[in-house]
Amino acid sequence: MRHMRDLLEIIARARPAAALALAATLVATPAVILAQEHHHGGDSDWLLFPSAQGLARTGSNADEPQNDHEWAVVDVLFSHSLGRFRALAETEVATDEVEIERLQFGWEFSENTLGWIGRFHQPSSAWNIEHHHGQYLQTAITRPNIERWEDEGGLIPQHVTGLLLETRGALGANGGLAVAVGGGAAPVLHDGSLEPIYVLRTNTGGHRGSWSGRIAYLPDLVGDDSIGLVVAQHDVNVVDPNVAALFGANDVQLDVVGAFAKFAGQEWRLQSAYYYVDVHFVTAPTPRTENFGAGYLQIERSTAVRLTPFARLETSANAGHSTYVSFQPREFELRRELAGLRWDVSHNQALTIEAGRATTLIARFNEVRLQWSAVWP
Amino acid sequence: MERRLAVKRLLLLLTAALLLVPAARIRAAEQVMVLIVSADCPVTHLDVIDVRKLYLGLSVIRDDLPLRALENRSDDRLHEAFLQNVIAMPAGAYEKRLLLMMLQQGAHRPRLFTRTAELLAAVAADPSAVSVAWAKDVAQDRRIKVLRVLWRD
Repeated sequence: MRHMRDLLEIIARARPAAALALAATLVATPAVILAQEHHHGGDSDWLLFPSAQGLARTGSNADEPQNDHEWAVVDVLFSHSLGRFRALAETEVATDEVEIERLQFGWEFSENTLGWIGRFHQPSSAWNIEHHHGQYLQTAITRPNIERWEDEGGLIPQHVTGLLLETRGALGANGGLAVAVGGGAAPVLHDGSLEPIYVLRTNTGGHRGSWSGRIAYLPDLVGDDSIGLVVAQHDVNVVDPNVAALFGANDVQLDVVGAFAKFAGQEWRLQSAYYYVDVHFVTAPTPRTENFGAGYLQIERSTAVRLTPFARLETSANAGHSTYVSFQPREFELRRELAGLRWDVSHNQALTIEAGRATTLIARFNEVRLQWSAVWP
Repeated sequence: MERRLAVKRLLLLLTAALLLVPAARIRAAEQVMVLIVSADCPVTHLDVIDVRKLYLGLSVIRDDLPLRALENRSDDRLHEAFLQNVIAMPAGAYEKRLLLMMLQQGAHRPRLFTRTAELLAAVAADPSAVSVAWAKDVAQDRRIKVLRVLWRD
């Protein structure tokens, strides 16, 4: 275990020059990409997901929860393959940060069985494994609270650096089974939020282990529908002294189990997930455990006129009494109801309006968001 | 007199119709969509489900060779028939599915070709390339191997 921690420490402090060069390339190339003929494919492929949004809030402490700090973002996705080798990089260039969100190098051991090494999105998140940072491909503007990224006030680690194995195979006449297992270095709790290993920024260090898994039944092996279970365990080092004092512990273990379902018909789409989280304050003078649950249900309906109304209900259980949740008192929403309308202006651009009502531990507010999102080329 | 003219017209119409029917049949017979690979490709058989998997971003490996899909956009009718009978999705859903597969797994979207000659040259040059074409476009091309008929009108 000590060797494992040493190894994680080395990974955490490493900032390879190659990664910097790659990031510079990813940031500098959009103009070149746009100038190229629309001739995607071959051994490399690129996608740009630009988006911009505005937000207005009213209510008690309405000016407090400001977790969506990025008002304009370009997500740059690059993939390359050579035989069975595959590389994938996802870089987010926002108005206030640039970071390589995913940097994975993979090997295809057999048909649809891929092993990856690098920084990836842990597979036990139903939403993030589907949408990643591609804003255009998610109908709603916001992601559910329990699925939030670490720097947006997220409670569950999402970016892990280590190994990921993904496989998918046939089950029955038309169905399939998809399994993913990942393990590596978990985020630390630093400066009031979870902090994963960064590729471009200085790392705090002290990262401990994380593993996560997901199993999904696919009614159609090549279709979009799925239903499944997720499980994860994250060992979070609490580096922030204020949070350590709040917890009475500097080591928190999160055990997560959950279930998800996604169905897409001709007109209706439904996506739902629920997570139950056991929180162990491992190094507290008297080790103690608490738990909370959180989940959501989103429904969308496509219409013939390129309009997609949608609604989402998010709810939680015991989160209001959780010491762990209280390290994000302004950010984590105990309950949220929202509705919106997406208009696909063209085949690759959309305008979305979303109105919601939310309750955090210290505030209640209403908000309206307006977003433009696109995908190029 | 007028009656004779009317009968003549009717006979002319019937004759024209009879002459046109075989032509229409020949034309219909030409509407055959086939699955093609390079003559150098070791693959001799692919199921339609494998073709669908390949074009939807999943990997298909045959004889230790990861196959690559090339998309034939040289003819709207061919593309429409391909979407309806192989992919089983409307164009918008197919495009979105390809974007999702790239975002999720780094799967490459099929390379697009808008000219048949360029597509056939690309298929011929790459033993891992798989595409679709009208049968009439590849009938005389020795560089190309037809694996199966995917659809006929």
